Amino acid sequence: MWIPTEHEKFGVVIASFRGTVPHGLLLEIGDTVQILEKCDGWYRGFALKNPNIKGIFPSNYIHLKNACVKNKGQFEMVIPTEDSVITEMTSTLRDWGTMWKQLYVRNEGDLFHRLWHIMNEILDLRRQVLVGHLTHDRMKDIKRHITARLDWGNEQLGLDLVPRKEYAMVDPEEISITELYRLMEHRHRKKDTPIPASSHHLFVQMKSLMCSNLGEELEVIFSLFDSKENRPIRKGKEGERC
Amino acid sequence: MRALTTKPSSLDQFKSKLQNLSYTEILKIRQSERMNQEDFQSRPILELKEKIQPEILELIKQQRLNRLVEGTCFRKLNSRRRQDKFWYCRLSPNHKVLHYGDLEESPQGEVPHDSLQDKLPVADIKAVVTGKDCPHMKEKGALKQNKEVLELAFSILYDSNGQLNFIAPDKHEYCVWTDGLNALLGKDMMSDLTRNDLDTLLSMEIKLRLLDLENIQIPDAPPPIPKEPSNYDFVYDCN
Repeated sequence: MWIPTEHEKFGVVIASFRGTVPHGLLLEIGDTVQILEKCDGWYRGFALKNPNIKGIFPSNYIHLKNACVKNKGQFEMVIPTEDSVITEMTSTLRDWGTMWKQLYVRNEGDLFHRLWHIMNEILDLRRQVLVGHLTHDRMKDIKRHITARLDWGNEQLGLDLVPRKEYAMVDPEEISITELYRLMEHRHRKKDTPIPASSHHLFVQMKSLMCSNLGEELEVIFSLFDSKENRPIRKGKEGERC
Repeated sequence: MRALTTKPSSLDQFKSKLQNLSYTEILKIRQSERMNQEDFQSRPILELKEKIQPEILELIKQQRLNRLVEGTCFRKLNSRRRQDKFWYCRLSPNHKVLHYGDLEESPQGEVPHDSLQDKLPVADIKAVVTGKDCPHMKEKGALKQNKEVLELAFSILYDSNGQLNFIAPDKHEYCVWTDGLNALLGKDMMSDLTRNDLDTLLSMEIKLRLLDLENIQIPDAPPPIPKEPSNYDFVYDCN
């Protein structure tokens, strides 16, 4: 009896399957699949790269991965539970892969080689994140490296810029327009103009002064003390000394 | 654990070994282990490589032919060592004709094929020979015995007795042209450059395909296929 799967929803193919049974689905090692139903050691579902073709495949050919399901039922969608940086890296690398091969065919050797280096670096960084056991600081460091490289590549290839908040891609459904605008503006401004200097007003009022030398001239001087340089600020406009 | 494998002979040595293996050291060691891990020698991956190889070779062939359509400036060997003459050769965009002709001086950019006087239909080409087998290398003459020149020489033999002799400007161009001409004749591309390109393209392709298999054990032999299911009454009876 075929029954819809409850927890077995998403997996990756660990051995190529030739589809040698009726309704069999041809699968290549490394493909990701979404599973709809199961029966007698077989799953029925489809490969994510080709969602329109459904078929059956042996369950021992699949390594299951955790995922959460949206819109349960015939048209359900599956979202794997992994760090969003990993998901972004995987899909970006694959997009780049296609364009990289085109760079080769069109003989754009320079960009081809630079992109090759960056892709290898990202592959290694991705592996580091996946292996795990990283300290919080190290993880932040790695994410910084990763996003720098992803942004570089996207820019070089003329792809869309990805808005980020703390190294994670922003969720388009959760962020407001103004926040998004500020994020992108901040990113651009970082490169162009320096942050405008802020000015402060300081009001100093001298209330009283006691002095024992009557008749002699007294001078009272106020000045701003620069604690970084450990001396009073000498240069400046007239208004600093009074 | 790593400190133990070097079998230190005293406790002091052990302590100093442990101290050297700081967090950053371990990270570096793990990174180099990761780089070496990528051997990709297991059977299923070799099978995958074999499967993808023809597609990649096709890409290389396209690249070579694109380069031939752009064309290259070649030098004519002059035994009297007077001024070197230049000539240009390029393939027509429909890959059917080779256009070539002499040039006054080294060209700055692309040379349009109308400005090249001679042409050779690809269909007339009988064979491509290289190195010592080239007619222009068999002639006697001090210049022609130069080993470097020998490695850059190739010739097209056409019709009954026609020959078009080339000296490539460098090894890279030599590979591009011999590969491209072999591809036009329907033969395999045999140069070192093809081997390198194939390796680069193929290994990246494999890495991208196996991205989701990171940290997952891949069985060496395909697992046994279970008995067919008792029925095919699927729950979701869709397309």
